Amino acid sequence: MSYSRMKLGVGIFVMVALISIISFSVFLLHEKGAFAKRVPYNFYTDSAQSFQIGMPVLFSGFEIGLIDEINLTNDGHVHITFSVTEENQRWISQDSSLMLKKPLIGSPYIEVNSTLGQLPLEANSTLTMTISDDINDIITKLEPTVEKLIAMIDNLHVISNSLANEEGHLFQTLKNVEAFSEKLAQSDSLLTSLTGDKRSSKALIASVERIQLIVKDTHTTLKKVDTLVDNMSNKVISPSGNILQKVDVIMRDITDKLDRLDKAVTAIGSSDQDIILLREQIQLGIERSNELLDKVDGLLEEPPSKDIELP
Amino acid sequence: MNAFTPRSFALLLLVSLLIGGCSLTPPQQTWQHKSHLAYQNFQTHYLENRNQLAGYEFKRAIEFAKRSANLEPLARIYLSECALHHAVLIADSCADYQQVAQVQTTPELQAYYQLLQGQLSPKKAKNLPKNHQAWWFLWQKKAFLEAENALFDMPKLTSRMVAAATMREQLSLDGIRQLIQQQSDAGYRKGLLQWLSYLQSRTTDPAEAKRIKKTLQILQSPTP
Repeated sequence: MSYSRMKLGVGIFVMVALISIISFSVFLLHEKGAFAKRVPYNFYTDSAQSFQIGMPVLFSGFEIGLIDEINLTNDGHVHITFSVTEENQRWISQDSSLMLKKPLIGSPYIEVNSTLGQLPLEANSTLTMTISDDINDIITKLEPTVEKLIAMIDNLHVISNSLANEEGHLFQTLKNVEAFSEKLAQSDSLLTSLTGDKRSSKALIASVERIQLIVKDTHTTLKKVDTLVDNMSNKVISPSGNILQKVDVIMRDITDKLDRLDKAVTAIGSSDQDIILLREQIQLGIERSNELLDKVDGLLEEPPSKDIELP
Repeated sequence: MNAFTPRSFALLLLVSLLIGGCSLTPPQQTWQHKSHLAYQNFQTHYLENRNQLAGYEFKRAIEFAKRSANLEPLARIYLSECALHHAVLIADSCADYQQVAQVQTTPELQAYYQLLQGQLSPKKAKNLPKNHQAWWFLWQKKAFLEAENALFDMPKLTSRMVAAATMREQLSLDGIRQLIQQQSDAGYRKGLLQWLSYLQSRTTDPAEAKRIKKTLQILQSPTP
């Protein structure tokens, strides 16, 4: 192959490769929306913190735009411009609002909230921005709980201090118990030790003796009651038992009769149609007899009268 | 040769019977006739105090009378029933008759109704049944004795009872007793009991009052 032909081939190859690369790049850029017409919008905020150029603008989780510019205005506010593709302009309407979301995990983003069915907002319009801070929200909710915990810890500290204090109630109580147990170990009469007074202990002893007498009387009374119950069982309970047995027999008989009556009532109830039919036939028989009697009356009566005479 | 042989006689008799038998047709059972029969039965049973039978026959009389658009027989039945109540001294405003009379009535029925209600005028009295006119006009003229005589001259007992009930305040005690006797003879228990009570209230003889009271007790005691 001659050199010139080789050069031509290489040249054609390079051209084709370049064209392919460029075409592919153009195609890729087109698909990515690089050549798509973008529609710009604005919003204002007090601080540019958490905003950055290129921050995505999402609608229902789909990226529809990006922040293009962040500028500081003369009155100290921050003017931010973002744009959405022409295709996605329909998601931004007149009642749309923006919210900056700062999740615990992940990068901050702008979320668009819109009512569907509205007309799209004109380009370069200004929207309202709300900043939502997830971390701060959690901290705000936890604050009261943390305060309660702190108060509980303070109380526990006070309790433990009072318990550990030698002049506190617990130590005093323990000292008294110690002293009482010493007295008990040394003194003869337990009661005198308890009450600290002989007269009181005597009064207590007298009460106990009275209680003993009452218990004895109660025991005697119970014995009498027992005898009475025995008598009752012979004179009242046994005859009552016999009566109850008789009542039982009568009740069984009544139950048996009620069962039979129930069957009879069921039989009558099932034959109500027959009774109705019988009644109709009896009625028919009576009417036919009446007709016959009327004919007999007519034969016997002469002459036959039609007019009803007043009495 | 004798033409009138036993054989010919028998034949003649047979033919006669056949012809005669053909003429013995029962009367046509029209609704009017049946209504009349039922009413007659009702009247008898009612006066004899056989209330169940009376109610049944009255119902039949009404049923037959209602087979026609002509309401006069129905009006007569209702008015006659009212008159029977009046005859046995039971007050009745004749409400059933009044209802029918709003649609159809006759001067005779209307005069009779006014007689029962004590509202009859001499002008309207000319429409009364003939048998009631005599005693009524005498009663109006306050000729009570003559009225009583005219009353007892009436052929039907029920007519006498109606008239007596109308002029009972002016009826003599003998007249009441005579009426009671006539009702006893006829077996009219219902009227008998009522008229006996009335006589008990009218009589000036204590012995008679006592006797009537005893009689009523016996008559009204249940049958063993």
